[in-house]
Amino acid sequence: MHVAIKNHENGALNPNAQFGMSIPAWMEGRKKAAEKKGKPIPTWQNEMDFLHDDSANPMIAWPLRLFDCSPITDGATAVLLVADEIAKQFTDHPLHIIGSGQASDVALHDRDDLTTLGAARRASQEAYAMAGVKPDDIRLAEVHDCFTIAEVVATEDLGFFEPGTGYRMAEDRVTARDGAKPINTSGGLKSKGHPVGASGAGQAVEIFKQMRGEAGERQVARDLPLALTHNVGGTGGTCVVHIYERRD
Amino acid sequence: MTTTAERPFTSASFEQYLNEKKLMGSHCTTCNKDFLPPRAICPNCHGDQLTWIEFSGKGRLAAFTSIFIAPTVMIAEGYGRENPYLAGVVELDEGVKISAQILGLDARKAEEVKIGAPLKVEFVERGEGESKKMALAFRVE
Ligand SMILES: [Zn+2]
Repeated sequence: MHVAIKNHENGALNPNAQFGMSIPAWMEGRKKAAEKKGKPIPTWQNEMDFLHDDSANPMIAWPLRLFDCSPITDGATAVLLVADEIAKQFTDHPLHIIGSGQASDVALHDRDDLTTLGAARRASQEAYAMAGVKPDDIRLAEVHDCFTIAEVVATEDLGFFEPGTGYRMAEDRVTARDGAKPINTSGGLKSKGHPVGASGAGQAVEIFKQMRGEAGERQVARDLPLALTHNVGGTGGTCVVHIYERRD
Repeated sequence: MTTTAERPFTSASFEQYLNEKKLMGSHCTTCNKDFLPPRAICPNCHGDQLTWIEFSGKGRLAAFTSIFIAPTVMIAEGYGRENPYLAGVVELDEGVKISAQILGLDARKAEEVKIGAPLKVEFVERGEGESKKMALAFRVE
């Protein structure tokens, strides 16, 4: 649930987000609407109160509720990909893709462990090896948060956090914009939206803006020379990881 | 009527067997592994010497969720927000796993569902007229 709070907080600063509203703003909206209709005004004390309310945040597939699920979205993304040698013809500050990994896995029911995506582990190991960098070197990442739990699992599969500890990172603000490892500064699939075919390239767009210092209000206030994107297909049957470098 | 030996290892054949109330998969005669639903080429040794095998239909609950926002086919069966249903992964006694609807447990009390609960296969009639077919489910013993 803290992943939802954090990603909506980021998405509120993204003018292209589908649900670009923080959860406190959402709660205010619901209270005002109730007042206007002359209905009893909800008495949520805080975000967690709201997120545990069955009527405000109904169950979808236990234990995941509405605010744990990314929406169905229309959207498009464009990325200009050129060879290193000619990149400067298009921009003075290109980003370089220095690592790339792709892996697949067996069907969901055939897996031994549902708390990790083997495809994400293998794809990231491939990308780290190609780039010659370690998970700790990555300053910023956009990961496939189709559901809040998917962001938690992704940050563990990518080697950012130990297995079983990822859930604490949004709550402890480690993955917030001002944290040690900002995750999904765009708002993620959760708040920015999930236009399936465009979601992956959309992650590259956010990384491009952040690494060049062009992310506006949601700009991370630190130097970001290395970043990563992690995109998943199906129920984790396939995963693609890219590592980006800025060379000054 | 097609005999067992002649049926190709496809999901259509798998469904045809479900309609006959049989839980059928394929068995690799080279490396002795079983596959459910059936595979035509062995994912383990990549061999193509496979035969049909019928599973006992007994197993245990390996993972589950309780679905409140149901797909169309389940809404037609009366499931939904007010009447959730359980979907899970079942590990059969033969060692293979498959996903299916889980019956005989209260989907409103997901917290009380126990991993490892013993299950037995059940074939559920779904749809009407020409689209009528058997769906795979497991019921708590
Ligand atoms: Zn084999």
